[in-house]
Amino acid sequence: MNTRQILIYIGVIIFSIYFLFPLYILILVAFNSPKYTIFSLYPSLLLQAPTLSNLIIGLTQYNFVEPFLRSLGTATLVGVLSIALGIPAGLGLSRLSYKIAYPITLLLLITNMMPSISIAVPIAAEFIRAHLFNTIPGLALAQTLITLPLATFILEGTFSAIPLEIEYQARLDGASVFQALWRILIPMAAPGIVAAFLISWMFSWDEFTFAVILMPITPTLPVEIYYNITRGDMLAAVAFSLIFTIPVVVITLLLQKYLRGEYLAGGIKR
Amino acid sequence: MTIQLIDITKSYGNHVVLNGITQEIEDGEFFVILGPSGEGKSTLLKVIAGIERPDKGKIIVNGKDMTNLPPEKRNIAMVFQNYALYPNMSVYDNIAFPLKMRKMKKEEIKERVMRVAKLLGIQDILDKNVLKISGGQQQRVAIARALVRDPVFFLLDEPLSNLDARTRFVARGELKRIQKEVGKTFIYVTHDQKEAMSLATRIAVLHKGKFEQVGKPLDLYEYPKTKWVAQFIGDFPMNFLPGNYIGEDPNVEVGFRPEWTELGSGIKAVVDSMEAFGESLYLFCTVDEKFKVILPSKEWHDVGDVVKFEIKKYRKYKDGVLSE
Amino acid sequence: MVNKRDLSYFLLALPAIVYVGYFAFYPAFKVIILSFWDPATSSFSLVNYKSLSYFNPGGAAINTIIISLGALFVQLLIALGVASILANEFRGKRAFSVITTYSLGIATVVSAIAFSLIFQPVGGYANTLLHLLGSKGIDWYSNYYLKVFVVDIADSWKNTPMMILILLSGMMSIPQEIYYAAAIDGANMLNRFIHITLPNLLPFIAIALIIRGVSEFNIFALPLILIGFHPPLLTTLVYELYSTGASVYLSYAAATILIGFISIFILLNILIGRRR
Ligand SMILES: Nc1ncnc2c1ncn2[C@@H]1O[C@H](COP(=O)(O)OP(=O)(O)OP(=O)(O)O)[C@@H](O)[C@H]1O
Ligand SMILES: [Mg+2]
Repeated sequence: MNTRQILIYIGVIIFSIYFLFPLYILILVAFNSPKYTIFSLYPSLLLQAPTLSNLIIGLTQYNFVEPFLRSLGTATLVGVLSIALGIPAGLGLSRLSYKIAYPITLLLLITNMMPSISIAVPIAAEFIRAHLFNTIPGLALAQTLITLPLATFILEGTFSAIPLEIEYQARLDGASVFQALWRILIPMAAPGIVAAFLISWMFSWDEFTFAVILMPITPTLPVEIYYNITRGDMLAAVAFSLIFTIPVVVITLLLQKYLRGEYLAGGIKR
Repeated sequence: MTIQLIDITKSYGNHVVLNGITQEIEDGEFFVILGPSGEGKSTLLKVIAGIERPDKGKIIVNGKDMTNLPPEKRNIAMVFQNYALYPNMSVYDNIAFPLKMRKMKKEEIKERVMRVAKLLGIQDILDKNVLKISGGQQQRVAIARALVRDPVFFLLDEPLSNLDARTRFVARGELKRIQKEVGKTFIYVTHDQKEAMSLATRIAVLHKGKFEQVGKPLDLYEYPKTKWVAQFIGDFPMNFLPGNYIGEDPNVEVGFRPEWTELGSGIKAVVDSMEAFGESLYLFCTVDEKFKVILPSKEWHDVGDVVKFEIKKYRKYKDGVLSE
Repeated sequence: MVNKRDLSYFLLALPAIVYVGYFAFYPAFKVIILSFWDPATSSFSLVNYKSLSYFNPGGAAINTIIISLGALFVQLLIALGVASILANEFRGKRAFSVITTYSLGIATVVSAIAFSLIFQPVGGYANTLLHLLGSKGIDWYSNYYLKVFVVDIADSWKNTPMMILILLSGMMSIPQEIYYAAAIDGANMLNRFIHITLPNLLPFIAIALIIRGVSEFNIFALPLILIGFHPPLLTTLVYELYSTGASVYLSYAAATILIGFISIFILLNILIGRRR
């Protein structure tokens, strides 16, 4: 081994410890008897008394199922809304001339940077009046603000990759604008649409700010976990967190291809 | 059925691409539009197809004004350079798509698809994915899709340019055969003058947004209307010398093809380089250190050799235009 | 000149435009207007901002800036290290790239829990580590600087992957030949990093800092769970004013200040986007 490789592996070890340690602690606390974790002054770094009772108690004694289902419903609705608005917008942006596309891109970019908390507060007032406060559709409408720009940029990229000639060909073959979209463009864009849906789903699944302000009474899972912490039910919070993380891990693995800097940097690349 | 283009004009921003094209195309013609890259050949086809709107001018087919019809209402078939096959469909579904859009019955679709598949020899790949077949096969599928629905005429935008030299040669012959068989008008775009010469009933040379010359392939070769056409058509550009070299008016230029000369005696030229082309050799020479000429030769010559040649046949050009 | 085709594509984008207009821009506009509205006298005035001054919004802004700068610094350092490693070929590279990016997908609340377990004054794993090193455990929430440190570390753990990904795509865009040429010219590893990698990476670092900077200014769940309302950040201040029902108009004023700061980032972003 040369010095270069040695340096690389030293770095790999240090950074791996840094990134893995918190996850390890979470798992350790979840599966270790609390006597050796949160109740000891200097908790052990090793698994002392393996147990499932933390999880079982957490998931049975505390209100888990309802927040879980609410999170599921909200995330799915956000995914649907994001692609329902994002497909036409992405297609439009990919075909519009730069002069017109740029201001629209800018609008989405600014939306993406807008502080959630600053707009959540007035939206809450509006929602109370419109009977959307503390409802899943209301929360989903607000969370889509976070996901729509990203979904649109992903779909714009997908549609840009489809040659214009295919669209022309469909029209010459007798398809109307709508038929060309439905029968040719959307099937061709399917991978991008799936990615946009999953990313939106995941963002909503994790979202906290809108959730805590717009749905505080019957909350989604992240907010329920926050409530557990404030009540001091640390073990329940840990149990919820583990279950809560599983779908995210699965989706992240599915989305490896899309988790690249270019995509996340979004419209800034234009 | 005739196609009339009347004063077709199209600009992108302030870049004028088509500058008032007027032309009539006869029924059953193999009409080739020839021009260098970027001259607006594809743009013209898109205008005819209805994908782009002309800024000015009219397209009249069989006396009916089509200028404002959307593409799906024109019943024109087009084959694009990249074939524009639908990657989400099988070969069969690609060919059947235009028929499905016309709400044709299943059995009739099947019968028609089978017929064109047979015509093009692609019966065996009908259920393959279009991305998993060769370039030559893709090109046939694109043509099959154009043929299947009985359009009023065909537009083809460099359909052979993505093929390797050998396949292209075969496909060229086949295209000619198919056109004869269906007996419909083909408007065909290419930048390859050789392809144009071998396919066309008539060629239109597109230059600076206009048809600089329209005519039979042989006429274009023998009587190019302008110096520009003379140099664009032919395996080698036409040679030009001032008229005084052969006792003509020094204000005209004489143009002559390499084959219209004979080596031996006459005008002196210095050999700059040599190229073998098929059976023959060609000498790239300079006359009086000023004028470049290309001459066919039977023997090898060294660079720097002095040869003499006579002009057996020529055309006269005044201000770059054929004068006769 | 707008032609017909552009118009129909514009119509496709219209629902999205209307949606963000109604749900993002209109509320933002409303917050700004209402922050100047005095409900007592039904007129526009600065009264909300005057009352807000009792809650020390300047301090909250400074805290936000300190925490953001600290987090950006830690993230940049780690991201540069990890990205330089990932730019090489070595055994276990795929695993290492998963290890250094998976926390991107861990929910903010979950990472907050993990770090609150680590920095617990009693039963915290950070203290276990100190204990193993022979020192006594400390109360990680006993003073301002330690609290800032805890939030910054937790935040970096969750958010460094984004920066790694951006820097890595920047490093991939530097042609290998430049490195070979520099190596032949006698530059050692450190020299190559300073003279080739860093200058070529600068635009990417700028983008990463701006993208992350905006998000840092907006961090909310993490400080809320780890340190509560003290010291306050702009975001937690807005939430505190809103949820304790002091006066919703005060929270509008705080929200407006936050929007003001973010606008600076938005402008920077547009200027940089323009230049490219
Ligand atoms: N949508 C467009 N917007 C702006 N300019 C365009 C557009 N389409 C084509 N052009 C320009 O118009 C000119 C003609 O393009 P066109 O594609 O018709 O050329 P072509 O003769 O088909 O060339 P090639 O042989 O390379 O296919 C080119 O200079 C091109 O840059
Ligand atoms: Mg073209």
